[in-house]
Amino acid sequence: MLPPFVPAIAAAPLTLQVEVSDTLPGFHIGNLPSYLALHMAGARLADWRFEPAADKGSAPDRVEWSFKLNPYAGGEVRNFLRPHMAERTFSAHRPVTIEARLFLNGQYQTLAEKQAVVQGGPDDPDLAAAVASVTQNLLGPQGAFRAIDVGRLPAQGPR
Amino acid sequence: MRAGFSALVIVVGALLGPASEPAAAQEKGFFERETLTGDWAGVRRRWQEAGVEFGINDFAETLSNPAGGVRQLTIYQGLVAASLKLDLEKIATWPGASFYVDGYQISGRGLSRNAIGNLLAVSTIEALPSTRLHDLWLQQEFLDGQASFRLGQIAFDDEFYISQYSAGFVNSSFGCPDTLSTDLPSGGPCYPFAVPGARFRVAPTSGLTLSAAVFSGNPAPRGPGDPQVRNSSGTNFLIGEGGFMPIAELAYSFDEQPISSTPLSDVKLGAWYHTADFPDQRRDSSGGSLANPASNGTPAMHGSNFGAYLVVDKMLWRRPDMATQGLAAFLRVGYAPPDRNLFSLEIDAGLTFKGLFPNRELDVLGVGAVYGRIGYARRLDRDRVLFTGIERPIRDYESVLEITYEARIAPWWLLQPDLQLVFHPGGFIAAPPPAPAGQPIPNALVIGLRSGITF
Repeated sequence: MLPPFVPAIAAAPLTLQVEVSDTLPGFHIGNLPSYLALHMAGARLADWRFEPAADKGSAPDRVEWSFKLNPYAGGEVRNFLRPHMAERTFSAHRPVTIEARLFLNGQYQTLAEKQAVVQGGPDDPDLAAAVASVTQNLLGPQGAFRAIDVGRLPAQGPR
Repeated sequence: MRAGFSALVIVVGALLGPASEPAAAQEKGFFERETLTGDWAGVRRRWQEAGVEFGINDFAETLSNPAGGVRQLTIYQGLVAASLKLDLEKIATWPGASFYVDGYQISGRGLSRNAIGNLLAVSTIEALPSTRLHDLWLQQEFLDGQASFRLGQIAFDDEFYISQYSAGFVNSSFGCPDTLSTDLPSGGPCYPFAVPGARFRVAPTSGLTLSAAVFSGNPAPRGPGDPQVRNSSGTNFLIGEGGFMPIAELAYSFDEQPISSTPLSDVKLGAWYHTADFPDQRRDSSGGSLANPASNGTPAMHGSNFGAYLVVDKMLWRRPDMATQGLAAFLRVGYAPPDRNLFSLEIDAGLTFKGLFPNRELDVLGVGAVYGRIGYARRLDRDRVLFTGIERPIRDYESVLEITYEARIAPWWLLQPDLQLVFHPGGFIAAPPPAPAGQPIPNALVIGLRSGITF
């Protein structure tokens, strides 16, 4: 049984840069990190802070998010208008696989994955809840990062 | 009158918008919001979160044929499409289940029916004025959404033979093809009809979808007159009237982009079968030509009908980081036997460019053409000339060239100027009196403007 992870300096939570490898309807790829950072903060993890990354892959301490559409056979209905919403939301709730990978000091640490059904777009409460949930699963007290071998943690721990 | 109604709603919406203070603080501006009426002070969103989704779209258009056709006319026609979707998982804790119903209020008169006399109707919303039920179904999803079963009143053009890039054109043939809407009894399960049926769909991988359905064979009861009158409300619920129509479609999607809700390119192969009796287009029951004065006048009957089709959508070039913007092409080819179908081959193809002009990212410019080949009815026309010795037009094909521009004035408001050229209206049939005998209906020029509003 691993001991619970305790930050080396509890008063100075580690700031993670938030990156995306691809995006979702409703977001320009440049806007999604800001959205994710906002809703990762919604997980209320005192040991961590989140900032949208300026450049991809450059920050040593970062979380990389990816979203993959799952096979979906829900079907459609007659639509007289060309679906202009394609960049704004899915036309219906779609199952997606959400994955968040944690890197510390440039080294990959662990990941959290979740299947969610979302509509996309910044106003989607299901997407916001899924982001917070994955963040908990990655960095929370019962999350994947706490479960890995303490010996693999960076020598100085979170700064 | 309907256009006036739309304008009234826009004005009322503009006046009422700022009045709902709590919502106004959160809602987007009048020309940035997704729907004209906004979020109803948060009510719409709360209902959506609870699993209740309303939709109302209003289409109003004016079309005119200043040249060609049987006569020159300018018409107005309108369509209000209202829908309700219930997520039964949220409402009734019934996992994977949903309920959907929609209906139409159709007004005005169609230009093809009243002026041009052609088969490839120049508008997707052309139908007889009526208030009618369309879809009414229950759907159950399985395997985390990888399979679904839909049962109720459904339409062919809800999910089959669909090209994502031809859907914005005004001519009806870019929607439900005429190898079905002209050839099948009463126009088949295409707009404005839906019929009792069942559909199963499975997506074993993210790029592959197999759909299979069985539709009731005839949306209207037997009898004289227009089928849209015989089933004037969409509530006949005729099961097995005129046989059944099974269909299967295999779709392979590629160019899938997470930023876009739909894959950018796909190929679809489909085939259908119809169990009703279909009259021969040329032969009588004794095998002779129906044009022969000695014919018994009773067409030979075929015990079934069938067809196949191919749909190809391809994104040719797209803007970086803007997955759905760019140049795309589509091609649809449909075949049905020429001996029992007026249209035996239909090909439509075109190009669309989304976001052609700066600051007009949602606008779409489209150029498309449809070609419909007449089946053995053309041989019947030749027979008539042979037997009567009177020269008359011989049907061969009808085709349409369309240029259209979808201007998104706001996310909720589409304005669409449109131009169509109709060649060989009616397949190259003789114009009715007072046109000189034997003179075919002249090729027609159609201009128009469509407004589409999402409430």
